[in-house]
Amino acid sequence: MIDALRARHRWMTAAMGLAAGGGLVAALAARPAPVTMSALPDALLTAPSTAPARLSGGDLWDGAEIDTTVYPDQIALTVREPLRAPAPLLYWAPVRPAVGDGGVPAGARLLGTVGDGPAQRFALSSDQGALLIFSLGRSKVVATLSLEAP
Amino acid sequence: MSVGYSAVQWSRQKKVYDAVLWGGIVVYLGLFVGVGAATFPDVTIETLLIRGLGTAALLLLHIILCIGPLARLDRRALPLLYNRRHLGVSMFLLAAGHGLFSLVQFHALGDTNPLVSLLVSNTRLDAVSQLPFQPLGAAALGILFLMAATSHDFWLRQLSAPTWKALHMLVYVAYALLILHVALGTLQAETSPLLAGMLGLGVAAVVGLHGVAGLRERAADQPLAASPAADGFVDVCAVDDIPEKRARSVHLSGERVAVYRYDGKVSAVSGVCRHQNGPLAEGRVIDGCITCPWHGYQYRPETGASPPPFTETVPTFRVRVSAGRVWLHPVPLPPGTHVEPARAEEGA
Repeated sequence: MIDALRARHRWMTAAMGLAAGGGLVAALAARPAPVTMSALPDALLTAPSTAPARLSGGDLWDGAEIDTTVYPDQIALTVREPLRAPAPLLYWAPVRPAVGDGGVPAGARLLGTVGDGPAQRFALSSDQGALLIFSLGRSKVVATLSLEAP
Repeated sequence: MSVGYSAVQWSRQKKVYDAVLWGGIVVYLGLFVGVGAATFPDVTIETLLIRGLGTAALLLLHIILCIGPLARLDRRALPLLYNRRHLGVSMFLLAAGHGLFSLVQFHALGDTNPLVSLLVSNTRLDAVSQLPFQPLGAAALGILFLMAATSHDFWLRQLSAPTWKALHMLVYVAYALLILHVALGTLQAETSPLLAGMLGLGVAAVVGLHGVAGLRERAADQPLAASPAADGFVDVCAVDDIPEKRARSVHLSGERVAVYRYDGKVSAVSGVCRHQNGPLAEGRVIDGCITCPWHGYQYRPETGASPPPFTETVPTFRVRVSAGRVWLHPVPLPPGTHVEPARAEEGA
């Protein structure tokens, strides 16, 4: 009987190898491409501003490293380091909140979603106040920028 | 059974084995959670624990599955085999912790029973990358529970070694389910090749070692080509082929037979230990008893019976030595039957 058990052991290990190895290869082959937020169609993108820039630099934000150019009517962002904050949303606000605040200030307006990748442009209706990035996943302000001229 | 047997064998070796095992587990989990929290400050402690427990269990399962074939290929791995059940139960506890935390984190906050939610929350079968992976892990955990719950000599005795071994062979099903659980789960969202590469190496190691050991075992199980003599005895080997106080394994009547040479004598018993069907032909004669290399169960070579007060017995075989050759009768005698040993120099 033990001989039959040994034969069954050999068959089971062979089947295990096929199932585990084949399953792993099939699952890796079927893995979807990583989803990014930078693939907006051109039609949905804000056209580049023709006005001269008011502010420009990579260190304008408190709490994030984002190459930023502020025009009178729009803002262009290129995220250099991933924000590491789930669901980051860009708001304009009449007053500048502090990083870590648990909500957006009264009167804030949503401008869009901040993604990784090439420059994103958002329309601005005011050149006063501040911009902030609010993480919906963490429910707190993760970065702020003052629109006031330095 | 060994002459040194006691009901609860918490020997020093077992205590050291368990201390090293759990020390290693605690260090691994501490490092995983500590480094994880420092590198990814946004990840919650619950998530780090889920991942830490899961990876620790998977790593331990790979080690467990490699020990068996390693011990067949290299005797130096045998000490790891002695308390492999401790590894198995520890691995189940880690996997159960992973499953419990996952159930709470992902299924306990809704209005559906968490176990029902686990089974019905994803019913997509239209794409490989969307297949439900959590039920695969739950099924594997069920198998590991059965194995951990019966990992005691009480159950080995109740079920008999062949049934117990057949039950514990389900570990291979559990392993395949767990590889699919990881491949269809976390690997689908993982962009780094590190985890996929490590898992691929692990699968290759487990499958490769079992393949090599299996081929070697299969070659050893080829029946003898020699024809029996008129009295039914079969020429199995030369006396000089057997090292002193050790055995040669021969395949006779569909089973392995251990032919031992010791103190100028030759005896033959079944090559299958009554405890866990360990390979008696790979043991040694210690204190006048054949000693199984797996867990130290002992049998007298002339009778195949364990020394008193133990009662285990294995079949014996009639043996004779003629002109330096060992001859066996292929029909096994009832377990525990006394057979007069042949003198090693008989007819030489």
